[in-house]
Amino acid sequence: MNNTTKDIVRKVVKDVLERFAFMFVDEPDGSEKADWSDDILHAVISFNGEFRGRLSITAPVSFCTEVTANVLGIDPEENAGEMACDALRELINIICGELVVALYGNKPIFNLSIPTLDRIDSDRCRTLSADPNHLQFSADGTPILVGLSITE
Amino acid sequence: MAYNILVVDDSRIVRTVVSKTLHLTGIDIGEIFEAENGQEALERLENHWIDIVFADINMPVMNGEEMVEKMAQKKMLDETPVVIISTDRSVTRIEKLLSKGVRAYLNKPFTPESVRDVIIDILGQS
Repeated sequence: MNNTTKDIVRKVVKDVLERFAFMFVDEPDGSEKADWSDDILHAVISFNGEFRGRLSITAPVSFCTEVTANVLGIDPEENAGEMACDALRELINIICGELVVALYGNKPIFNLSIPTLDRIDSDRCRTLSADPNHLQFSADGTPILVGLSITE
Repeated sequence: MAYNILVVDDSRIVRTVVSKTLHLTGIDIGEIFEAENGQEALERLENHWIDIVFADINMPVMNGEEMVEKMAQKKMLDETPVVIISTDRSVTRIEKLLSKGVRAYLNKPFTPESVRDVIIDILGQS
């Protein structure tokens, strides 16, 4: 991911999380170590058109529960956990839709895959966070990772 | 007259948000039916009176575009307008769907105002 692409990813992620989930997003400086001790979900979506790529979001279940609660306007304790996986799938779907337009304009058609979801462990999170194709954010204080790889 | 509405999306959270949004529009809403994909939506349409359909594009089993094509083949689109709600912002895609008979297109995330405006534009104030 080059610097221009990184800036676009940053803008889209922040914008979507603010508008869709009403969450404040910032980027921790390099000195802060994220706490990946929570139960962690890893969502992946692919896009296929003039370019092909793969977007991922890695986040604790607690983040997904908070997204659900914010989107539905309910208390996190109130059934939000049931839809946590669904919330992450929808979030990555929206981010990917916005991202391809931000990267390539609104003329080309891109087909998005159905997002997939896995649980991963904290070691895998630390590996991903060291990867140059991943950006780390803090959403209302919770760490999330966003990864993007593009092939021509 | 209250409008019966079909919400088609594979995401439960989106179906819930659309349903909640519909109740915030101030429009008289009758029954809200849900379907997880285009195939289920066609089944609901066969068995219930639906005034307007809000559908996603990207769904498993049968996507929104295929569903619109099936509805066009069955000549259902004049009777039951379809509004697409999607993350897909390609104007080429939007033009293609509108040419197939889709009546309006909303981007996610949407607002209650945009949903209300689309319903009033297509069906009129109930």
